[in-house]
Amino acid sequence: MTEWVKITIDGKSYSAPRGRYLLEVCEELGIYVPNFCYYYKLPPQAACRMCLVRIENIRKLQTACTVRVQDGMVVTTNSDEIIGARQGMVDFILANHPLDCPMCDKGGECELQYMSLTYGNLFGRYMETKEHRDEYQLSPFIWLDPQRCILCYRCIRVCDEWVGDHALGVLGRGAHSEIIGNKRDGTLECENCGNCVEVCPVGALTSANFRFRARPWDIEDTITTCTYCADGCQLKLSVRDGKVVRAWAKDMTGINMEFLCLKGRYGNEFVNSPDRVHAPLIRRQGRLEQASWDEAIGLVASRLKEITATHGAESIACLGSPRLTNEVLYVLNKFARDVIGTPWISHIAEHDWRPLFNMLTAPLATQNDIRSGKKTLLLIGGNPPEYNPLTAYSLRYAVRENGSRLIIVNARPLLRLPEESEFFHIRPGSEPALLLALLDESQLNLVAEITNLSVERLGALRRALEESEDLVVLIGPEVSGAALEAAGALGARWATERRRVRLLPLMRFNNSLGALDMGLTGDLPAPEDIGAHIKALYLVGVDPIRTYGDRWREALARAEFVVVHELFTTETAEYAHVVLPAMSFAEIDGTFTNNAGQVQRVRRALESGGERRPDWVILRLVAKGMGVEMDVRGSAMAMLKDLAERVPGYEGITYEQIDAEGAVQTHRALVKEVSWNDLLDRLNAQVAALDRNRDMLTEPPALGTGLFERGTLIEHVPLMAQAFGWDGSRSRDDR
Amino acid sequence: MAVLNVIKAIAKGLALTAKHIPQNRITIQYPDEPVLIERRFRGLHILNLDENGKEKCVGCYLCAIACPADAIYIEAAEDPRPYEERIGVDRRYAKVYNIDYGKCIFCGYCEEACPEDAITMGPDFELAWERREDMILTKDQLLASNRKISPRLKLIP
Amino acid sequence: MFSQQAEREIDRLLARYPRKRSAIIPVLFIAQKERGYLSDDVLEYVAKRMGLTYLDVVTVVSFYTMFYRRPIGKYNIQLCNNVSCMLCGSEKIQEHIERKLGITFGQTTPDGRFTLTEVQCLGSCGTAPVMQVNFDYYENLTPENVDQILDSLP
Repeated sequence: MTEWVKITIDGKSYSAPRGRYLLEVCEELGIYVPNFCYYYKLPPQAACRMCLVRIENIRKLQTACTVRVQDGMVVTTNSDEIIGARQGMVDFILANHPLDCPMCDKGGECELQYMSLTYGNLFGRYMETKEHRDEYQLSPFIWLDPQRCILCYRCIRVCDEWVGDHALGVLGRGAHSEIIGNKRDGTLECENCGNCVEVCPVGALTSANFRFRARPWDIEDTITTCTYCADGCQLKLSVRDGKVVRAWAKDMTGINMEFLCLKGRYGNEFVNSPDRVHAPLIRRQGRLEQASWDEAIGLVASRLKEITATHGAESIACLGSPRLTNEVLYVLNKFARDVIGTPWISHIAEHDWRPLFNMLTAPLATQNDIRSGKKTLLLIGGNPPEYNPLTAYSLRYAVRENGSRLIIVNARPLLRLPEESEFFHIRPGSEPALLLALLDESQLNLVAEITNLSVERLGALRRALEESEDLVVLIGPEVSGAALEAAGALGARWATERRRVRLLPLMRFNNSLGALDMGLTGDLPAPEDIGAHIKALYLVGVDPIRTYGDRWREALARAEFVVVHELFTTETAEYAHVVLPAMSFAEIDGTFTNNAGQVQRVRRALESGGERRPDWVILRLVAKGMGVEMDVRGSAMAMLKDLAERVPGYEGITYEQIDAEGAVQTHRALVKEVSWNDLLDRLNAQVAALDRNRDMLTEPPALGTGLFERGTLIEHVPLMAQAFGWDGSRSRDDR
Repeated sequence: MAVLNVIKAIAKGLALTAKHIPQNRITIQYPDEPVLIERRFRGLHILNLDENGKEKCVGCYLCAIACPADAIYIEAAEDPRPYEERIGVDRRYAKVYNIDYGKCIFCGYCEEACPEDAITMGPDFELAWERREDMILTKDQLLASNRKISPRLKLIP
Repeated sequence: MFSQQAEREIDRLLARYPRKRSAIIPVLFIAQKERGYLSDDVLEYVAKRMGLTYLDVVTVVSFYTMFYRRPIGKYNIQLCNNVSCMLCGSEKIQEHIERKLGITFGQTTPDGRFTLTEVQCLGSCGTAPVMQVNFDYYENLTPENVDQILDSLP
């Protein structure tokens, strides 16, 4: 229980929770105390000394960011003495700070500019020449101008506490201190998330993509949802002249607070790429040639009708990408089922998560669930720092801030997760056995043999769950089939009256869950079937060749007719008969559903150039060409209303609700009665089939296995291509 | 009588004309004679250079945002070369600097906003173009080094 | 990398603290004693030994002036030139040493015997001017007794 104490600030009395930092209390009460180095939920540093306040009975001025509130405290935040002290501090900070605001990228949104204007002197009082230091590149993404640095240590603390990279440090002391990176030559070797740039109050750390390109006052920010992993971070896209110039998160409203990862921050400029398909393309004499929309739609509609007539509707397969918005996927599902009438409507998933949702016995855990309160976090498989960075940040936060217990069960040791975590090193592929141990205590001996964990260790793991009062289980993509069902059933097995259980699948794509919810199955036609009983493919934003490899190359070549909605001419598009130019996530409105089942908005940030159209408009036009008027309304907002009426779990979700709450969690029906015998039979069968002789993996996956991976979208970001040396040619191995 | 009135009116008019004939003329014979221009006249902009011929503009976009008519378009770029070799005074310079004289209202806010004294209003007042496209002047046309004061104007000292 | 005794000492220090990294300064002192100065390789080794990163170690080393990143002479003459010492003539002492040894602040004699370092207050203003040679104080300096002190060093 928080104990409330009485304090007096500037002659008025307030009550505040004991032990909170004075600065935070002041901020909550609406009393502004200037500060640089303080940052929300970072350990206090008291480096800038701007937040000096007078506390009665303490001889010197105190830094409000480090003083904890006590009963009877009498505080003055504004007096001549304090104003003088602040002036002195600003002078001090400006002693070496260059006044190159006109060319500094931070100019216009710089906390130091603001502070000097409000609290500084009109003229500096130092006569000495400023020490000049050249700016240099810390990494392909991050630049450092050491002279602008005011040594607030925010970047270092963010890197240590939130990101866990420990990539930045301060070299030297006093006025000669300098921020350096972790390599021998002082540059950076880290995930390049750019959160240090985000929190820098001045222009010392800048992003390579934003440098010199725009000023804060001539860009328009749109809050939207990231299009990479399933965590669903909120980000602001800054647009200048119809071009995305940066993505950032400086807004506390999103589920990700103020943090993004490498892809979220630097991976959005594919939107600007000149390689985008800008007009419909039709294959004529083996070459894709530009055509008009009428021509392209007419061709698609007539060919689809022909194929339906000759081979039946079942010979057409529709595949959607889990990166599309819920609205597009909803329309695609309707298009496939109602207009074409085929059962082949699937999304391209890296992993089949359906068993989990079919056997879901506990609600899904949001990022907030991970971060709030003391709990036990069990991670089975997966590699959140690489594939779900926000989840990794949240885990780190939970351990640091709430003292939560993090238990990692993985076949490989993982980097960049809190050191305080407990690690259970299991044999590769033996995750099902581990889940068996969690469900069935009688088989510990067998599980011990398969997982290479001792019975005592397994007992310890079970005890940890027994001791927990609040359990969040994070399930990685290594868990599949019956094991995934077992994971879903963990809620029924472990939830009691005093123990809450929540699950979080570590999905890969931003709308993997949305695709399942919208009724897209995970059943792809086998490549061998294509050309056999599947004659035509309708692909919306998917590139099966990149995802599944060469077997699809031949399959696509056998298909009679292939239509692709795409942003780029992918390898799959090379086999297409018609390529229709689609709009990217930055150019349309819609919603994404993240891995916690939270629906978040995607907002149109810029006008799409060329003749591109949103996917759902294209689908409606094709339907019209086939003589069917689809029952789809004209705007994304209205479509959300329609789908909210028809898709289970989405009842009543509207833009207003999302705007008000930030993210709205869908209601998921939970399985009430688990037939344990059947489930255990299936799990036992899966466990029995495991290879018990696989060698243990001791090497952690390298930094960047997931984050630096090449993908359809990210390869068109110039900065990424440059940083990782991707050339124009595409390779399939690193999808 | 009406005729008399008319003659009277003409005579009155001619008398006024006659009175002005010996007085100083205000009109000038432009373009044969140069026009006198005040030093503070706000004419066609000039992009200034420093004493070594480097462009003063650092592409900060402040003029563009100060412009009430939205007439200025800038694209900044980086020039990492040393001072002697580079185009501008600093690493950052304006790669593109266009002023649309179809929009400009010659208010001089850009000049006031400029932190580098890079843009000033010049004396040129001859603002007639034959095509709309020509009304957008690029950086090359605005740079002080590429401009010579028209012989048809004279600055009042 | 170090002598057996030093390694044992490091083990003892690491065991003494609940968090290993707390032992960083004494460990670095041992390393410096072993090698005379802290090269990159030594830092890398210390970092590995303590389960830290190179960055953690180098930032600590760079903060403290008594950790040396470059080789120094056998005797490190640390001459105070703060206010009290300056008023009592430390500048004259400095000139004298510079002339005698042919080096200025931050330099080492070619024979590797002496390094001259400028330090701030040594906390012995009552007996200014003061210098510290390695870990010994020499107080009330005059050019004459400086000669004597330097000549008498083994």
